[in-house]
Amino acid sequence: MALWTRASASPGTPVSAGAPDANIAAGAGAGAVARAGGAAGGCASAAGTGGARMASQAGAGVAAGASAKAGAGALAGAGASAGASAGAATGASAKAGAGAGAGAGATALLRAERLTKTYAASSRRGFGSARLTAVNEVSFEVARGETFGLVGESGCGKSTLAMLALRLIEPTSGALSYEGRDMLKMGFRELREIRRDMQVVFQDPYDSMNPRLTLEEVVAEPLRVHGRGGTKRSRRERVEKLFADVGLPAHLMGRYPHQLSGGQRQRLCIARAIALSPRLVVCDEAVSALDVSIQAQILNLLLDLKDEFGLTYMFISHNLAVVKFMSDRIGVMYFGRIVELAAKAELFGNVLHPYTLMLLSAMPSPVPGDSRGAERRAAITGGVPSLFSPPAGCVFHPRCRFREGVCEREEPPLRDMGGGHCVACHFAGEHGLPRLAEQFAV
Amino acid sequence: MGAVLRNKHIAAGGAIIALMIAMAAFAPLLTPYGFGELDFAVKNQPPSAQHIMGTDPYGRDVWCRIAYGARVSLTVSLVAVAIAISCGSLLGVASGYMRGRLDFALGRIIDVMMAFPAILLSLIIGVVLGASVRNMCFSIGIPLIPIFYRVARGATLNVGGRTYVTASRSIGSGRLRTMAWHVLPNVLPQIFVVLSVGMGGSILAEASLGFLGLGIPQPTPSWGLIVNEGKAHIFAAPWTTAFSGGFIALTVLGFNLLGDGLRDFLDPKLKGAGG
Repeated sequence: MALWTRASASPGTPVSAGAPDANIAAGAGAGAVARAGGAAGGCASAAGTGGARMASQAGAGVAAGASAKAGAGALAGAGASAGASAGAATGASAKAGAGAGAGAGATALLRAERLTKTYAASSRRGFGSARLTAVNEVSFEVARGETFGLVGESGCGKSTLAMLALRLIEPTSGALSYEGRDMLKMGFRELREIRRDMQVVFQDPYDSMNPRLTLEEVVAEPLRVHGRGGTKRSRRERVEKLFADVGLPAHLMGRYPHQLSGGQRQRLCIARAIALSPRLVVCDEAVSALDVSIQAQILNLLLDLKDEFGLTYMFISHNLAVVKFMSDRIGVMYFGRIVELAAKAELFGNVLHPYTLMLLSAMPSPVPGDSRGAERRAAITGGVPSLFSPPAGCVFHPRCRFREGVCEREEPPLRDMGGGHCVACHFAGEHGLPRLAEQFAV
Repeated sequence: MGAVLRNKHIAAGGAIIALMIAMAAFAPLLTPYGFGELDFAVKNQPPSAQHIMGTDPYGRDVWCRIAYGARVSLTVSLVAVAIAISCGSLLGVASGYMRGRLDFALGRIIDVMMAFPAILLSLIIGVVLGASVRNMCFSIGIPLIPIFYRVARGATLNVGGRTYVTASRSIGSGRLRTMAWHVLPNVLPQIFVVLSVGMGGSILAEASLGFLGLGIPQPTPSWGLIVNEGKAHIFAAPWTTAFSGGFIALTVLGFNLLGDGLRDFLDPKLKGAGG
């Protein structure tokens, strides 16, 4: 049952690959997950309106200590450590009601407000140029110590959003802050300081390392750039420690990236990402290029590291099962927008957006010969519209089975339906989606 | 060093070039005559024991002239290519990585340079600077810049889009560091391949400039000059052009092998594969 347990994180341990989501469901079920209410602190942007988030990880690293400052935090922290001693693994998120802690906005590690990125792109006919909006007014917060999941189909702007969040590309408009400091106003030096704190693991492990550097040089690069690690020897020791942390044997240090397997490369990328002891790690489809058994190993490694170093993750994937396994809170993206945002248990227990329902129905059933297969597939209709000609009104209306006149005219705002469960749908809570979702019980 | 020489291409290319340089350096010891000694009694002689590579229309010893000519030809082509490679690849990498206005401005300047035939550009620079070995390096090197610029820029556009370059930025590296550590090392191998083209081109350009009277003043020989002088008698005395042309070809081959070898040597994927 518990194939995806933490123990399987050790390298080389073969993890039997079954139906992926079955494994994940098992793993997720094994962890004690309390509902993190009020997680988003208001859907769009309003600071301080939200509840205190307590997503203290077992193992209480830096992050847990910091967020325990909030009044309600003491209790929640206790709960978390209790969870830790009980051996609950997957991230015991203690519930803290909305409004329980004043100044909750301050605990947000990363905060994006109405981030928008448009590109000039030549249109298909080759005449003139069109604007393409890859990310459209997306707002979210990543709280210290939590794992914020972002899910959506290919081309919905997930990776663009990741690049924006790290300011690796410049947003067209919007605001971005890290620990309350405006990232968009930072110069190179300030940004470099911030970058020590926020790292990224990319999708393609084959392309994310300079092929001409040895593995040791790859992992040591962040230390060099930031003048850390002191002498050559102490830096080497640090790299050795990092190799051990991610489960790579030290004798590989003199090798080159092409000599590694995909999983080993991704471990190396993770070693590079944690070299500077960052607080936030953005995982942009970090396991998508790996096969399922290796995915399990890497995911477990990420969870282990989170506990050990008190990391905060922004975890991006098109795979709902993987996001569910990893995240405390999940944002669902469609067509450059976040259409639904809620704590994991809330999202899966109370689906409010038709698109989320569609994604859920696309998850393969863990039960062989599931008779609802045809029905599930039937739930998916239509395709993503062209980014050059976005539909008027709600972007999802051409594919929505619940659409009404207003959907074609007005774009629904992202509104809080209570407890930090935000959704951008005119009829959220009205079309009985939760009951529909039940039949896709995941 | 041992590892470098285990690459057969580098070893062979390096040996050829080392021999050429040694020949140029020790020319007085290797030759029985002065390079300017005229002896009309033996003009256009085929190779013999006295003149192992024959004599030219003025009765000068061809081997002598080739050995001394290596000094000018090698110096000029090496320095010219060094100028072209360093300027061309640095500008190309900067242009391709930074994009934007810098890329646009440099691109247009390079376009203007490419609009002139290389030899015309060399002539203009040669006329402006005057004839000397040093100025010849510039007048030959500068027209070669666009070749290296374009190769470097194209390769940079490719490398710049790779994830490891983004990763380097995400770590907090500045542009210079990213270019020096990640872009340039991955662009250089493609530049090395063009190196041989540049070497051959510059030896020939030196010959053309000499022919047009902007080369090294007589009687100092250079390979290009020897080829040109022998051209008029190519049927009566083919050895003059044959031997001097042969040395040019051999030198170009040496650089060719060296360029290919360096490209392979710098590729970690081929390391330890017995290359």
